[in-house]
Amino acid sequence: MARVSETLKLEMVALLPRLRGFARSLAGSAHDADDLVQQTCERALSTTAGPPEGARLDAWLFRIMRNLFIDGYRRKRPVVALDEAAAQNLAGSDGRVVEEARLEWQAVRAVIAGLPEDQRSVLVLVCVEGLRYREVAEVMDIPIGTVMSRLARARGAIAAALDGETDATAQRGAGE
Amino acid sequence: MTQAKVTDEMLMAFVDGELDAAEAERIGALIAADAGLAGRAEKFRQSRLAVQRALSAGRDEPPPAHLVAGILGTGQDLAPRRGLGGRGWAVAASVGVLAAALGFGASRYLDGPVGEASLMATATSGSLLARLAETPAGGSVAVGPATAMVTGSYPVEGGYCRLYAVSAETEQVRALACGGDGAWTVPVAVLEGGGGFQPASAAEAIDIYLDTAGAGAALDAAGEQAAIAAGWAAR
Repeated sequence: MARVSETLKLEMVALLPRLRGFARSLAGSAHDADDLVQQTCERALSTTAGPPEGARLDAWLFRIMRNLFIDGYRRKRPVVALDEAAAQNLAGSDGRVVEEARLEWQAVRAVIAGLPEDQRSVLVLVCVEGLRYREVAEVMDIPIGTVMSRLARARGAIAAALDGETDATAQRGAGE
Repeated sequence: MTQAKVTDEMLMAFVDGELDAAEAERIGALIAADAGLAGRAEKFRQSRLAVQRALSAGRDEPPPAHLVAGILGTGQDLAPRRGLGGRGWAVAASVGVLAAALGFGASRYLDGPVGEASLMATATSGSLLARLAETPAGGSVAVGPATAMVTGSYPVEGGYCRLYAVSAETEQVRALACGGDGAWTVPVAVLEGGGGFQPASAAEAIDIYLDTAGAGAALDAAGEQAAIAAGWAAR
């Protein structure tokens, strides 16, 4: 049994950057996010079965993570703000980063941070993690129609922010 | 109006590639014929890209060592630590594993991708195997532009097998080195391409071999240290 989990562990290590990314979108600060990743891995390793037959390892871990977050973290940290450290890291690591792109990130990240958690999770799982709608429905225990309506709402908010960025002089007329 | 027939959800699903072929063709044709629809679809495409750009920052940074150590257990038996909460993780973190070993972050320091043949050759070279023989699980060694990390050691009939991974910029070889007493062979080595989660083919191949070889549970840190000190002499 220890052996089977060895290979699973390697795959989990390979997924750490993505686990940390999703955790940051849930937990806000980098520190809380890594705590959440840690708890998620611990929970995953303590299961005897591993991911269910046919399930993607990443989707299974996202599901564990989100459930842990809902069980514990949300109570502790009702106000969620996306951590800015990641954006600064990227800016620092690439001298070609232009101010324009940073402004767009900031605007988009602000919108994402302001979304309710259920919309934010759907948005991140689809747009960043590349999960199918069906897979997101399983991760979040919701019907696929709910995935789509939440995702469309979140994307609408992002699109509105992008319009604001590209046309900075425009009045905030289409207030949705 | 045409637009009334096509909902936001349908346009979004079209952009996200979630529609079946027939429906995608139908929506695609409607979009091609209607600038209003095309504009709405474009907003969904742009919003997806913008979210990717905004949140992909920092995703290539190496994860902290304590998270890697917490998963790999660094050669120690994980089972007793389960359920201990924070304490177990603190123990794991104190061991200190090089997180870059599996290729994150490391890639940006590399000169370029290592060719398929050469990464496989590197991963199975006698010189690497000799160095890995002196490296405990959780430890890593640099081999040219790639990094090798030992992830576990198993007693098998007549000797030992050690699981390791050699990672370069876009690909990784996972392999077993088996033998001992200064003579190692590599019965299983699987090359995996870059990019995201891999199907468990390497894992399966390795498990099948270990089963066939009659492998026992992973050595704990002390057992491994003793084996290294003894030069992996056949038991």
